[in-house]
Amino acid sequence: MMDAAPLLNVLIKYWLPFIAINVVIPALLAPLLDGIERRVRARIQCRRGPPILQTWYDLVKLFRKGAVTGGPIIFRLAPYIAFTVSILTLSLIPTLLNASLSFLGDTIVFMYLLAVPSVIISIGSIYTGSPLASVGSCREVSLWMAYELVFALSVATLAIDRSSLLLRNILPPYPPLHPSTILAIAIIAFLTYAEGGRLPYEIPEAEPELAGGIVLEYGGAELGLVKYALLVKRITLSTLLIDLILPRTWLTSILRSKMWFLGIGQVVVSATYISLLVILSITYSAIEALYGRLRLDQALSVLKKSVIIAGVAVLAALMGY
Amino acid sequence: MQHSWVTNGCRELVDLLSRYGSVEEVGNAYLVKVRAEDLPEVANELQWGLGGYYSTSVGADFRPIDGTYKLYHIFSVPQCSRYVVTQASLPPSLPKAPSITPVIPGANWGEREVRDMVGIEFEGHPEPKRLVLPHNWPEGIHPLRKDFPYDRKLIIEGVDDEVEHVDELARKYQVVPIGPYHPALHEPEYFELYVDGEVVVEARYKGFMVHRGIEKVAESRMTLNQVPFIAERICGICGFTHSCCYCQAVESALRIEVPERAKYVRTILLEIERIHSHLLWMGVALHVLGFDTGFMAYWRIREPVMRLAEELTGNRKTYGANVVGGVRWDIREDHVEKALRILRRVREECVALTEKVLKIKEVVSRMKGVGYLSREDARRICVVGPTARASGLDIDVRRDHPYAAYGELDFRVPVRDEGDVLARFLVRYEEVLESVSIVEQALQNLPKTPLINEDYEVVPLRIGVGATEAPRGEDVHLVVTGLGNKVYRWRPRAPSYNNIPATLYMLKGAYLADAPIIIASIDPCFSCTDHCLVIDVRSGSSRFVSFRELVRGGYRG
Repeated sequence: MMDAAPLLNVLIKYWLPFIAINVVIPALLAPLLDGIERRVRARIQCRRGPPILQTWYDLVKLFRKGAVTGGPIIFRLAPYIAFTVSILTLSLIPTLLNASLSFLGDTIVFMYLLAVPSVIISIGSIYTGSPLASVGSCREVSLWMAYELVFALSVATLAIDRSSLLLRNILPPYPPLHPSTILAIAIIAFLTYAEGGRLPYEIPEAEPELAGGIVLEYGGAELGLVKYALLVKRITLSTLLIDLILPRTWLTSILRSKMWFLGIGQVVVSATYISLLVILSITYSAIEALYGRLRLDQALSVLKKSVIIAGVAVLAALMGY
Repeated sequence: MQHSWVTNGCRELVDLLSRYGSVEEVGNAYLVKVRAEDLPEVANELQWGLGGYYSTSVGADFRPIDGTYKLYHIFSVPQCSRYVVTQASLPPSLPKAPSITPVIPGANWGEREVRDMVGIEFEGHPEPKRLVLPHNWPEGIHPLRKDFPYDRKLIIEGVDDEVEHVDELARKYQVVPIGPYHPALHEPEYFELYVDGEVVVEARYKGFMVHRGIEKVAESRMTLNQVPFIAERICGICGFTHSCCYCQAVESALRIEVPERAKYVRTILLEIERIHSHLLWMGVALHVLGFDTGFMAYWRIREPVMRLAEELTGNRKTYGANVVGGVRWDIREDHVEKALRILRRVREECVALTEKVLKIKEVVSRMKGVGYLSREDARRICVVGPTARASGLDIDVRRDHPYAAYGELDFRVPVRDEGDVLARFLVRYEEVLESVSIVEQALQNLPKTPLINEDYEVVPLRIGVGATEAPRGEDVHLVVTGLGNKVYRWRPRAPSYNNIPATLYMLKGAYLADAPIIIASIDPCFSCTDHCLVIDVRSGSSRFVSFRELVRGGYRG
């Protein structure tokens, strides 16, 4: 009992502010970014578009309905697991603050956690036995396996280049920058788009084909959680890309040396982070507006090509390029 | 666009028909009274011998008149610019006729609907099952018989919540339901797909879920000149073509001369309807492919067309302009200029947008080679309209059976041989441009005559056939005039009726992801067609499954 007080002290002093700033704020931002994307897409489609807060309104509406889903226990639990895990994933990489939860092998954990929401929701949907949801789940799993392979190869490239399995060593864009590193970052940039379930890769849901597919059987708060989990996953992926290109410590240190106010560096980094998120969202939604949905086999053949490129990147990294 | 060989072809046709019975010329159609046993032979001669096209079948209860049932088969013979109506009288005690479905597979639905609604049995029909009536409808009650009052409410046991389900397929493959409510369909309709992985191995269809009995209402309680208005409400997209078709059938039956200006006004409105319908479809097709930007863009181009229709008729849709003998609204001088301006813009924007869309690889690759329908299959199922023209069948009622002002206007009929979804898209695109040109020509050459000819007498029991080229294909109405300013028998046949069976051919072997665009590619109009069940399974291997079970998906694997 003697140890409880210092531990609590640490928790209040460091962890709660960290979680509040680094995890909660981005999570609250995620639906807003979706609101911006919807607005941008609408403008490109000659529509006026919904208010920026619309995604939040939608989510709140769903949450207020409460839990309405029945069915197998795994199916009912899946949204909660998916949402929790996606929040956990977000805490593993630096967002607003330069810091993150960091521990040995966190790269591997991050990769696994990133995949959990897709897998758990696929399993849940298959358990309902609904044909459309099952087809959606099969598509999700097929795509997920392809994504994971490409993702694993790209992360392996970075890990070899930096000779580390710690995210805080792998992520920041500091020398040595080999050609293989740049190739791996380019592949991850593509993955952050595709894995976010954007057109033309929005195949498991495919409203006109599967009536929502993988999320078809969910309703109310559970549907809200599934949607929210996807939004958090999107912001995690965007953050990953930003972390790969934003030189955080350099920016902080340069500002610290020039300015008398110590916190200014962190403030500038956070502001840059948020503006990059918005820029990425606008770019992604503009790209999305120009595409139709691919068929699964067409999408997989694109991903097959990226597996080959990622494989080349790994080989190059092993050879020291 | 008259063909020079019309007269020769017609002689051949008349000679052929005279071998089977007396021939009477009614407007653009030959009515031939044949014996029931000759029907398959006549059908064979007309469809395969002479190169005609089976349109539809109509049953009529003539017991109050001459104590018989009448069975009509309607054929289009484009090279003679004539329709042929074969009329067979059947005894009231046991009305039956040999089926023509073995000769022409496309007659499957037509005959089954006659069997359901009028109670004529078809001998040798490969699939003697109900089409329109629900499974639990009592035996021996046929709603379109004259002794069935239109306001009679049947107490029916149970609920028709069952679909035909094929056991052996369901054991082997996953069953994916599309419908009865599905975002890709927009109307209640049920497709059942048997899927192996992502590939469709077999497809079934059940429709006619919202049959409204328009024919019965029209025959029972509407006057001759009220029917155009209910006819226009058959469809929310191409209604004007139905009212036009009905009016032409009556005009043909009663030999009414329609004033020139009315013909031009009809042509203009028909083509405006086609432009809006095709643009609507092109947008929906892209939406089904997930390309919503294209969807919105086509609908933006379409909007001025809707406003133009509103300006010309007072309504964006359901113009209400047609009456027997002419039209009710005129096109004013100041409209012409405005309409021409809008149309020019529509043409420019449509060309620019379509060129852009066709450059998007992802979109084109989802349409090219998808949903293939061969020319032979198209001919056997008797598909019509853009679906037929995309499979290499060069048919178009506007050119083959000139009505309204089409005979005096210059236009091209786009035909493609690829038979896939992309071909259907391109045919419709080219038709939009042709339609714009047709409206422009018609607007610039509006004749100055009265709008309506009301100087006619309603002679009872005259038969007339009306045909128009609806946006989705040939629309055929058969009218038998009745006593006291009424219709004795009215049978509208919308184009989707002939096109929907083709989707089952297109779906086999397709990817599941392509199923919605394949179904959408015929531009199905279920409400026009409503109520059906197509299935080519041996009856022994079917069982019924409730929809509730289906929704739960309890029979996977």
